[in-house]
Amino acid sequence: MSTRSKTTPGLLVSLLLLTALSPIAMVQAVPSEASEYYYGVEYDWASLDSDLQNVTGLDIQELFTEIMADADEAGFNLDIGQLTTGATNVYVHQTEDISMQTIQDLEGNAVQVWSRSSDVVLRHGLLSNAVFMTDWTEPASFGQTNPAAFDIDVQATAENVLTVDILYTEYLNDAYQLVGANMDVAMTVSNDADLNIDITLEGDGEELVVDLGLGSDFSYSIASDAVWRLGNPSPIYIEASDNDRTSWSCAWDSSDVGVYGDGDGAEVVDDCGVIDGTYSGSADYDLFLSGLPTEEFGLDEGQFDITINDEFTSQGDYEEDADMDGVEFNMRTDETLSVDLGDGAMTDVTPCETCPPGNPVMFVMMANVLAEASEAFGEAVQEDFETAFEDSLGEIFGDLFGGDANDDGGDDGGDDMWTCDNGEEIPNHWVNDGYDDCDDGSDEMDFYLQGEVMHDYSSGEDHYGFSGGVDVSQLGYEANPIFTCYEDGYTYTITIQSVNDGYDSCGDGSDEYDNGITSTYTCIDGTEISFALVNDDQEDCGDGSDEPVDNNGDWHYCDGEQIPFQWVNDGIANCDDGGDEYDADNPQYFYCDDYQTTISFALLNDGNFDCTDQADEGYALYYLMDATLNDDQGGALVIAEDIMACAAWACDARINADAGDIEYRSDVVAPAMDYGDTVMCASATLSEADGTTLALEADTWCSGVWNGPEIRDYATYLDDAGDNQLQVSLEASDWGNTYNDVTVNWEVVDTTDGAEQTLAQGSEAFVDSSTVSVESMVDISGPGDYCLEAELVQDGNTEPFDTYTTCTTIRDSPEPSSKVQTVIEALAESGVDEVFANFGEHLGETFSEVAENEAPEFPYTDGMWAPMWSNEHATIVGVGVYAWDESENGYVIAGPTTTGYSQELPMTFASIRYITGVPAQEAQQEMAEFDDLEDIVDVENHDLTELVDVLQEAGADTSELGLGEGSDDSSDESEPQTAEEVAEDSGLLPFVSPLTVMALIGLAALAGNRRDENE
Amino acid sequence: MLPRPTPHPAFGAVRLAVTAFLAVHVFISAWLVATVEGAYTEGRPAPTEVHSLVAIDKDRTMIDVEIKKATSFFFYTLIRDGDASVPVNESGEQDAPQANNDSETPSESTGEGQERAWLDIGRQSVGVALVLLVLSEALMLTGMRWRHHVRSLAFLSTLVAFSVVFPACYMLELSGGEDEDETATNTPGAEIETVSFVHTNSSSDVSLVWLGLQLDAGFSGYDLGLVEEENRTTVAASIPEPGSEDASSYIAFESTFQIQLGQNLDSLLILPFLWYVLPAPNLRSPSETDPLNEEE
Repeated sequence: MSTRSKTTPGLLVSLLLLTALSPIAMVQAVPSEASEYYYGVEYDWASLDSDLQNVTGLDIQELFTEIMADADEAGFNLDIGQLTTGATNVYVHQTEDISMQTIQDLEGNAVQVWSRSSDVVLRHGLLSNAVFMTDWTEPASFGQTNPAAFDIDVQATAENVLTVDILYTEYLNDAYQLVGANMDVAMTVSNDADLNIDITLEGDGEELVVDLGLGSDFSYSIASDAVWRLGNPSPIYIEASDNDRTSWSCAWDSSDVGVYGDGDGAEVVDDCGVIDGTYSGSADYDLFLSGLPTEEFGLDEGQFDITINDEFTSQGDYEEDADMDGVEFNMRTDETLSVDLGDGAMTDVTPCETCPPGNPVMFVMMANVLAEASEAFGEAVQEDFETAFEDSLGEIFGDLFGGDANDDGGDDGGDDMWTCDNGEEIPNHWVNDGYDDCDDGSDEMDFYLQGEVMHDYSSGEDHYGFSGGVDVSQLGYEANPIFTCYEDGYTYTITIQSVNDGYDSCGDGSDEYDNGITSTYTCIDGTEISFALVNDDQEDCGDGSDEPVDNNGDWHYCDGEQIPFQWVNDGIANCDDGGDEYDADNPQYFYCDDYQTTISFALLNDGNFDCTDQADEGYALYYLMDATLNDDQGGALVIAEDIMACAAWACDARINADAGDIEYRSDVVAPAMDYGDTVMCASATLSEADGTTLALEADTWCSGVWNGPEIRDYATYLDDAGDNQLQVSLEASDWGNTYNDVTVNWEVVDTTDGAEQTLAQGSEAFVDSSTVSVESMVDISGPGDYCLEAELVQDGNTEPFDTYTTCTTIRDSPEPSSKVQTVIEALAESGVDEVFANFGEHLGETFSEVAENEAPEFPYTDGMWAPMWSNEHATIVGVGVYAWDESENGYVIAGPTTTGYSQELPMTFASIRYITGVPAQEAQQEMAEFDDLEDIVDVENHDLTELVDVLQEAGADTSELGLGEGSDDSSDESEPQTAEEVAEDSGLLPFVSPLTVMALIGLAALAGNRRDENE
Repeated sequence: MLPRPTPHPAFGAVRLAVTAFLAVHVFISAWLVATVEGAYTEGRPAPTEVHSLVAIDKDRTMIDVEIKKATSFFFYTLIRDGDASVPVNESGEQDAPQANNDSETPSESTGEGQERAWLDIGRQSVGVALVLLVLSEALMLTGMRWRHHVRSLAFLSTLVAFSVVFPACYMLELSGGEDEDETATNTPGAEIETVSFVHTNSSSDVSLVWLGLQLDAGFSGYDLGLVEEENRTTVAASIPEPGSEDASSYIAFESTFQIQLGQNLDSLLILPFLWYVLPAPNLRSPSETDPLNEEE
């Protein structure tokens, strides 16, 4: 009894200690009680200037005042003002439903789960106005009657709105493992920007007035309803609760699924499954430009307004693999917090410094859903255009920004097209490049070969050969198991042969057991074994996934060669010395069981195992390949038959089962190739070892082999250098070889109107060099079509082996009107440049003073971004920003009430309002109803008269700005009319029907007449 | 028949005041309004729509252009080879733009400044007509012989200036600006006429609308700028097979062009009515005070 009484308190104390010392409590079961909580963050953009001043000491308005003063001192007027109003609000509502529900997993099986939801509302609106006014008049000098002057007013207005609504519901099983999630997300972003520029330039008696307006309105909205199911129940929340550092990634292969790491860090690798959903998207744009002076385009005086717009809508569905890479939970267990989540009680939380301000899994799913829905929407819109244009938009933009319609593309194969089975045409170099470029995938072949010229280092000769790809799985080969290295946040793979081979193949050495980094290995079937047992020639995993795959089978070693083991004692002497056949006259022996057993050679391949290790019976895996290589005229270059192809070194044609490629160097010596592109066409068959059963067939595929230097299109161009000059740039090179027998010839030709007039030409020879570059300037007469034609010629030949042509069109620059020229010349001759030079000097001094001004003393010495991880809920339950002063007093910069942290701040540098509980709930419900800028932002606070008053205080005349009522402001009367306004202007009479007017006049006359008669 | 009021001495002054008022009213209003409603109905620029409004007043030409569903047109301009063309043989290929030879004459004979002068001439004509209209009404206050004929002539001149002279001047200016192809054909060394659209069909239908004309026009053809360079000659020679890649160069455009007098100009029609309902006594002889001797 006494022992028992002592043990119980001891156990309790031990449990308490363990609980206290454990970084985070583990979660492994359905919560016993559902929880619900709200939190939100609000920022008023009107505080931006003051927040900026608090942190940097920079008073924006004061800076504007100083810049305006600099302008005054320089001799011209400058007035600047800006007004910004806006709000950014985010609210999160999280609830749990702990009743068990039934959903379907990725395989369609019914599973029992409980759920928890996050309802996120984000509303952001920003409204800003900026005004820039400047004017200057040249000081009058004696006799000068028409001084130069400018008066420029610029107004910019911008409106931004972003709304996001997310309803995220995730499903967890009774072991707290994540099974999947559903998400309804809707996002709208819009941006309207307007710029009005009023310019009056005077000089030499002329006045140029331009009232230009330009703007763009853009909006995009996407909504999606998505379902995500993982391929396996994920322990991500359990591991995040149990470890200080947890990262999450998706498995490349199902064998990688598991939890890796030890101590306080874990890497959760899951089959991230599939996200499928429906989407509805729309986008529109509206661009406008008004006030273009028509007389500058050779038209009558007036103005030209143009509006360009379009809108797109699409809806559909999508299904993509989920990509959850990048989720990390890095807990600051040294700074656990006790916070009020809004219910008045204090809850212990741990800052997660790598987390977003909400459930990280929700954020990653949102990124997936928005990306996939947007991609599906974009593809749908793109398909509409590509159907109409046949070219891909990428090609269209490529032509616009990087391509050259006149480029012959000769040396990069750009014009060689390949026809898919479905009739599509794709560039030849896209064939067998690892990506499905044809819609039917016919550009990626199970087996293909292309002609090569391969160097034999033993003989020093070049031989014709083949290289290509093969679907090894169809040949019975198997890729080796993969080991994943994790290094600095990156993952990459190595094959199992590289594990425990004595060399560090992973950067951190985790592939070698001896380094003490990795202690266990997870087999494909999920079992764990000691890492020391990997690649030790013994299968320790039940599925053998700890050892390299034997793709070779059994081979017999003769005198310096290998033959398939099944050829031993088959009655045919395959080895040169005949040693593969039993010779009763000269009996041989066979050693097996690690040289412990000696048996007669006659017992090999007799159908009975005579050795314990069964080495006396065997079978090699190999194929027989027939391959043909022709030149582009159909002439045979290589005809190879019954070439042994296998994954072992013994075969002439080597198959790499891990990479899926095949290579064969023939015995045919290739003659010295001409420089340039040599096209060869290869075809082949792979047959089973019996030589008759066809395994795979490679259709004839023609491809080029380049020999010699090439003209590099990326470094070869012809550009307008201005002043009637063209810049020629040309490069020809090889990556490694040097040449002495190649010359680059080039010429610039004027091809205007079909003429062919050479303007300049030159030659440059390779002299023990791998690169020749040409840079030159060529004079031209004016606008027209010009081409740079370049070629590479081998000494002794007249025909070039490489040519390149690129053309450019020089167009007439629009000639400004005489009025513009007069005014510009007058301004250029005035002293305005001196004024600007003075302004620049003063401005430099002002900014120097600003830089020298010391920022206000910052009272904080350290800070912390703290998304709050709750042990109890195994998710993020709030967010905060904390700071400490030099006395280590803690402050809540933004966040919930926190034990030990003061909300009496020595300095406010971010006017963020954090709310929880009922206020957050009410704010979220209210804000969820708002979609327009007028609702999100208190636009009544955006009082433009404040801006007007500021400008007027600075001495600016704001009467023509149209910014509303300032002290001396009036409505904008200077706004130019549009054509529609002019057409509908009622002139001096309200527009009424002439018949009505006539009737009124007639009645008036009659009335007057009757009155006269009465009198 | 509307009963005519008894002539009154004040009516002449009233008529003069109203005439001057209306003259100013129409002078500051839009004189001519042209609208273009067009849409690409087939081909790569489809379904782009173009809406254009041109308003011309006493000293300005205001142009509003709106391009709706503009993205396909934007891509069309990107991929189109603007220099694509084939020569027109002299045997009478129907694809040759018929206007080219005709339009060379004004281009050669008139410079840019002269083209602009057409509209200035029109404006001056209208201005003079309006001044004459007011003066002719002022003459009615005098006893000058044939004054009512002068007024009628001035009124008719004003109508002609607005409805014939000014639109004609505008059309002359427009035709003077549409000479894009002339640059190529007039370039030294370029003696062969070329076209960039082949197998074209065009249709037009002119109809009258209130105070104006309406032209419904359609155009279709194969745009060589969308045809591979090596296929252009083939496409020019024969219509591409339906469904072929070259057939996708087919483009159709339909438009309605409407040119009308400014909406305020019809207020001038009030003037004859004024003459009738506001008769003034004849200042020359009492016998002429008979209302029937007044201008009708």
